[in-house]
Amino acid sequence: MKNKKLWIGIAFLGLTLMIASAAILFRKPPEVYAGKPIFHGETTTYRYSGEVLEHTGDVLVNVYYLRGGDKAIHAYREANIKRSYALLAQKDPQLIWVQVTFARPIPIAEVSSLVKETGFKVQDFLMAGRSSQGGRVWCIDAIGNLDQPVCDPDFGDLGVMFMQGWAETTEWGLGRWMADDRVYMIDTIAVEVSELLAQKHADIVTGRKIVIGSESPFWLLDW
Amino acid sequence: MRRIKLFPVLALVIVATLLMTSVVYAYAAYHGNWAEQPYWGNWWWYNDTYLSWDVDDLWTQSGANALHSGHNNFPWKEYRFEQEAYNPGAGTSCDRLKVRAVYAGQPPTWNLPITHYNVLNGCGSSNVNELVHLELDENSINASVWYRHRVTYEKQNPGSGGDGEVNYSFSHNLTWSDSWLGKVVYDQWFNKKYSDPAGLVN
Repeated sequence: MKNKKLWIGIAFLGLTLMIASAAILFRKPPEVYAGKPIFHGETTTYRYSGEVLEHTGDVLVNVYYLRGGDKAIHAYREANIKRSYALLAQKDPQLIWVQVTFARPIPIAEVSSLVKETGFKVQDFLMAGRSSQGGRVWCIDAIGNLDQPVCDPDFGDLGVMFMQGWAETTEWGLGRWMADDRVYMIDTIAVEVSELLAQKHADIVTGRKIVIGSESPFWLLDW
Repeated sequence: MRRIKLFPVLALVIVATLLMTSVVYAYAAYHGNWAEQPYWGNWWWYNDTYLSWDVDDLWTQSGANALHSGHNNFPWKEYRFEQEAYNPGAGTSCDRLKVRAVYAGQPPTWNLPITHYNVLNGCGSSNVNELVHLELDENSINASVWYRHRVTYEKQNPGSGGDGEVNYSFSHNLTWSDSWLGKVVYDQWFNKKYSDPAGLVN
């Protein structure tokens, strides 16, 4: 009888230890215990996660805001403004990948004019607005030609809300976008993340094409 | 007497209702066993000038709770859909469908809330992007409502290449794996042949 109680006690203790070990193990990011090509990191204003895409070998890096709601987004936005000024102050202009979030949906003709005036090279863009029933709708134009948009105009009353592409770090390029009050945020995080990857994750990213995507606060804005 | 007459009428009503339901809403439980994933899926396949693949997703209450919990607690997972117009396991069916546009919010379904997206080259030529990642705004997702989005594609070389397939997965930023939800197999002319799970596509 005593032996039986002892064995039950040992089994219970063993089970408890196993559960505790599993809980500790799985609270850590997976790459800590597996040699898979994914990686993560965090700075004072954002988190990032990267992975090597299986069939192309390209590296996809996504940037996320820190926890903290509006305050975190505000800090991220401020960091972008600071970085953009630093980029403008550099002697040699460069073409950098940026994300533009507008304060509200902007008519496509207006955005097209601004793009032409600033030499912006569009990759793709998202249009947002309201359906005829009043609900929120959005459409990603993956072709990226503002003069020949592919989003069906019958889908809703849409304007450009978010755009990805390349801007030149000059006063007439990036500077114009920064000064435009229709723009809520011009996100230049790709410049910083590229440097960060070269420093911290060179073993994974060297020699690979890097694709960067960053959260946009467009969902929280008025449209 | 009355009981005998009522029975066939009742049976007819039940059969008619079932038939109508199956035509209007041929939804199916997704594959995959992640607690945070949508439980039900309901797809539509329109093979016209462009190919349109509509996806309706519905989370159960426990699924939505798990999604919110996974996002709002350490290690703060960022969930996404991976819409793959190819076979991601084998790396086949590449360069058949090129992403043209992604829509969300067609009434009467709800607008899928996202924080950002990536349109990517899944495999094959870098000129043909066949992969869409939609990063979810987790806290805006509610249980028991249908979220619809549509991806339209430019068809590449119709009439050649035999059967192909498109796949749909659910994943997050802290894992190399995903939860495979389902697929559609199409013929060389992009007509749908069947779905897995069966009954998923209209």
